[in-house]
Amino acid sequence: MTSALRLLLGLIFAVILVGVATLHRSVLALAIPLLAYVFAALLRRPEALALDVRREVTPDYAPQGAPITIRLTITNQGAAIDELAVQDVLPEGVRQIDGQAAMVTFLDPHDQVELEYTIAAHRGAYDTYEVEVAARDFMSFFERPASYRTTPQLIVHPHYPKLERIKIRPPQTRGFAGPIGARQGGSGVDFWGVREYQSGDPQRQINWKLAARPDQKLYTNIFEQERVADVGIILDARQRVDVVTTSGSLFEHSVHAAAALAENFLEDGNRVSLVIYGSGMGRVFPGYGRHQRERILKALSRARPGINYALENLASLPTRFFPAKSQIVLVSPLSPDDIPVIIRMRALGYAVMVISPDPISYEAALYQDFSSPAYHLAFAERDFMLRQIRRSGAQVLNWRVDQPLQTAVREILTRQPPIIHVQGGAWA
Amino acid sequence: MTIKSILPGLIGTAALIYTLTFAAAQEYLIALLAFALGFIWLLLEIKRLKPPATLFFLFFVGLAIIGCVQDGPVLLMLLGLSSTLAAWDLSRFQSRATLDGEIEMTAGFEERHLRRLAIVAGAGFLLALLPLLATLPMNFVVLAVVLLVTMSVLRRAFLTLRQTTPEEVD
Repeated sequence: MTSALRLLLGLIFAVILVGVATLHRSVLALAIPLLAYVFAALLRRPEALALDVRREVTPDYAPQGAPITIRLTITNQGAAIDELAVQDVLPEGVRQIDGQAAMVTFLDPHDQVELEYTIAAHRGAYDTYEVEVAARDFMSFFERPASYRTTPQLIVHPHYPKLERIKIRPPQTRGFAGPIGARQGGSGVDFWGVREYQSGDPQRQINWKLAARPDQKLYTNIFEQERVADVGIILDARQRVDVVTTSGSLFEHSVHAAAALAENFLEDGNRVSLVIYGSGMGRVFPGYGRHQRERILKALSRARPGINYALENLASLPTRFFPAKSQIVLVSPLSPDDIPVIIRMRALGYAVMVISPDPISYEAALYQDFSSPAYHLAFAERDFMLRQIRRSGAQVLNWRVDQPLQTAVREILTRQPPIIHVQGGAWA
Repeated sequence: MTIKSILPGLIGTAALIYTLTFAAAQEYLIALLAFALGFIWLLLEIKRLKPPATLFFLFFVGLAIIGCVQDGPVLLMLLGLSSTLAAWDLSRFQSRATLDGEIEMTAGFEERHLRRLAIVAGAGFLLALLPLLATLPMNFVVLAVVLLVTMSVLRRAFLTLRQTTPEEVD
């Protein structure tokens, strides 16, 4: 019963009372049209709703910001509805860019109505949608609201820039051909060494300089085999290293970087895995190719910074998840207590690359504060931390997020990583 | 015919009826008030400025009661009341169906509502004429008791029709 009906009932009572009090038949007659109005509404009062609500999302897997079409179909499987107000509730992170998400209509039995509109969504997985409906009589004196939940899945993955090939050189490679030097002789591009000539070796590979020696032996050039490798990407999703400002969060940049790196390594044929380390430990097991890329992007779509006191520092990282002597790429703003963990990874034989979105410059840019003593002190602390990490043999990219990732990667990571010799063998 | 053309017509009709009726009865102040408020309501509806239609409706119903109490022409008062009631309904309908300034209704919805409103308003007007045309001798006490019983029954009937809580359906 709406307030309009209550008002009208009160008016009818008032008119009747005035009519009785003043003994005027004509005043009583004024109540009749009002009563007729109320009785008509009573006759058309909405019954229990029996609506079938279906939702189609096209496409159901899209990059961030891409237009997505939502089609909502409502079929009436019950009695006729004089007035049906439909409002499709947009989840948080979704904005409407075209079409209509609300409508007022009537529905006879077995009739159907469609709403179609276009949205753009932030990165994430959208599983539950609500539709609010209200059935009314044609005078809107009686209302029967209801809420329907539909569950088609929509995954919006992060968009990411295309990076130039990043040169990595883990100690161990896999058996398939690829772009990474395998530290073994065979067919390839880079000169590796020489061996004695064997019948069947191509003439163009004979090392004629050595052949000019007095011993008259022939030697054949051999080249370094190029293979694919295992690459493990670790996305740091700990809330304590994230910086949230009014314009966004540093974590979003980390996610985009992780997506771009995964694409880059998978495109080279490498076997890539992902660990999201934060409120829990989300994992994508190692794999190749397009399907692996989709799995990684879906995992990144759901990634959120979180708090877990057991995972406050990187010491709980499951390094056993990564094959021995493989390449680890850590995407993290870093904190000083992460340094021993990175050094330990190097000690275990992993090649480590750190892509570190710079929280100092990110926050300073918000306040345009690049000259204060606090900024200089924080910058110096971070610089010292990064040097300690570099000294352990890890490649480090200190990424100011206002600079495109492609540019930062091109300047630092597209060069061959240095080979650092330590006692007992060559490490890279 | 759409609501955009019918609604101003209804408001104009009601305001004109009350203005002329009260002017003819030499109640110039009430006539002027009826004209002024009718004009304001009309203007607000045309400009879609979300007028307080309920207030205007109550005012015009009050005018109808005053007119009947002062032995004015009952037919005109009934006509004015029916016009006001229909105008109030259409104003509420328009505000329900309008979202963000644009009407978001399906085709045929407006015509359907107008048809039903015309039937109900017309039926109410004709039914109201019946007791005025047929004179039945009735004791005032009996009449008062009948009316009070009617009011009590109505009240009980509508107390049972309270709004239900929202249903949630998966």
